[in-house]
Amino acid sequence: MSTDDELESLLRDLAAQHDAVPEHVTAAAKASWELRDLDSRIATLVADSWRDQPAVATRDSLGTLRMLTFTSDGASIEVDVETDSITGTRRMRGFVTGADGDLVIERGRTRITVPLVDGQFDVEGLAPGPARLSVLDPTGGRIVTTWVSL
Amino acid sequence: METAGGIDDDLGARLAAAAAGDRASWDALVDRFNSLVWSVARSFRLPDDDAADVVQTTWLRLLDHLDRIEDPQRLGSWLATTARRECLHTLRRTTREPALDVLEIMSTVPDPRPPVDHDLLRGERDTALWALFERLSDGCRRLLRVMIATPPPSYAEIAAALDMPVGSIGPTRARCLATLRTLAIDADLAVDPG
Repeated sequence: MSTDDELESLLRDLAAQHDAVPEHVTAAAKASWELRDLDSRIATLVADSWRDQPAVATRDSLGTLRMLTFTSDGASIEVDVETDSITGTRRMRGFVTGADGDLVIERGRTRITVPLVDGQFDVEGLAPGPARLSVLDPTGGRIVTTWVSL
Repeated sequence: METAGGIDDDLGARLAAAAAGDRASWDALVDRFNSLVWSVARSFRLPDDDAADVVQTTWLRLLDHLDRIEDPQRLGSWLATTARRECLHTLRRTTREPALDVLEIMSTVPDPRPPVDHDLLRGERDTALWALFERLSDGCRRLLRVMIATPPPSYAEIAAALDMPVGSIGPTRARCLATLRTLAIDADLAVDPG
């Protein structure tokens, strides 16, 4: 009979055979380096309705609605992210204060430009996955949020 | 503790170098910890696409925090915690059942597979044992799936991945491995090395 350490080691070998990290996942993790943004002002996530609610509270009507607030020195981006129960795509609605220009949604190397109307935006049909938002900084350059998974 | 290229002795320098713009150091950090991050996602039984998103988001969040990791030796725990939170977000989004508290393990023990031939080739034994592993209770499977990342995570990293006290890991590990061993014996599967 094997010891616990031997059984654990055997399971580790099995995981490496049956459930290793796919190469494309590791490649994407490494490639994320290219998305570093050292020039923009960072807007940090200061409120997240899912972070502030217990994870087990998933059965209420707000279960698929997530409310996020990013701020940076007088500028703020407030976003409601809603998941379409049929298609699984995301809808993002919200408003921007203290910043100018269009809203840019970065999805890896892909950028989606969304016009701001009186500071408000509304975009549908977004695929799941990591995203960050950016707007023009009135003092120059851009304001970019930290990454969040839609 | 097994390490990948001895990077564990040099985590602070690797982090600092990555923050200063050294791409090779970033790659080394990914190589060192990506199995742990992937294992956390898999511990929640996330399918490939969701697990890939969790992994990618976790590394992007590190990118945002590269110069703000106060204790480099806790980088693995930071990544495990970040990945766990992303997994919970994913589960909430997809309105799946939340993962069971790992301390509520053993509430359901799956039926063993039918008895199999004693002369199983090792590969067949391995496949059958992995199938038994996949059928463990959610609590046991979560703990063990994180534990068997490569290289082996520290108990602090496992605790971060499961949001459970470090002191609970050893006893829970023993009970879960005992359960798996019993299932294997019931299925006539040898779990001795080799």
